[in-house]
Amino acid sequence: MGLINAIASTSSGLQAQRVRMDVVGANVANIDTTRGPEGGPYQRQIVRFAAGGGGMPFAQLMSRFSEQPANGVVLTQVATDTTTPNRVVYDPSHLDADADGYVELPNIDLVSEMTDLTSANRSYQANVTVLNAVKQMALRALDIASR
Amino acid sequence: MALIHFGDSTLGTARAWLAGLSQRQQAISDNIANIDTPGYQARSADFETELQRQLGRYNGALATTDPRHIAGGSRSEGQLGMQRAQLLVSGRRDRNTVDIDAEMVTLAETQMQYQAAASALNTQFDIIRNVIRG
Repeated sequence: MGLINAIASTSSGLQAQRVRMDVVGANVANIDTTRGPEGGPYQRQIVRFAAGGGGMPFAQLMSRFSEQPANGVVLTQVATDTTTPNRVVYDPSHLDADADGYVELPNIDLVSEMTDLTSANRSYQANVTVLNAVKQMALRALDIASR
Repeated sequence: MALIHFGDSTLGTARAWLAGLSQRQQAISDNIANIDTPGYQARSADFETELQRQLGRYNGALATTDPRHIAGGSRSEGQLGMQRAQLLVSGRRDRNTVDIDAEMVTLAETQMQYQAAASALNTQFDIIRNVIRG
């Protein structure tokens, strides 16, 4: 049934955005962590989304109307950002400062993390709106001939 | 569709309408879920054109043998089938073509049409019930 699939798609969207917010949270929490799991400073984590169900053309989806599985979105990977360089600040008193007094800090930019957080938040809200609409439609369908 | 035996095709039409609308709802849900998926192409469901064509076939459309004749039954093809300009080229750097505003408008529209179809179905059932009770 179409509406149940719609709910499944939306819940995958909600889940994906929530994981994205978790990752942003981890990044912001570790903005000054100089000793990450791999020794050096903590490395910024990024999420990768992919369309579920292989992104079939709609005509093909229509032809498989009844056994059509939910598509939605898939979180394929939480990867390490290797393109952004680490921040280097001069702080000789820091415990992890090198011989010249420089400290390598994580490659996390607070502004871009906050932008990402806001974007994830808005996308989450959009999914909630869709979910509420689907719910109302489903309730309406249950109403048919119930009088 | 055994329900059509109740007299006319209203039940069947409302049913097809509801099915098409729930397909459209599925497309909207997928589009919104993939709003942050790089390279995702937004999808849409246009079922009205086909529904209208099918209605024209079964709804007793009058044959027009003269250009001055008025075709009864359904109106010209595609009158109900709304075509919304699809965003084929994305302005976003990740080539995602989901247009959030258009999706939200379609969402509201689909919701209202679904309620209308459900109401139509309910009315039809009321009529049938009245007939049965006498």
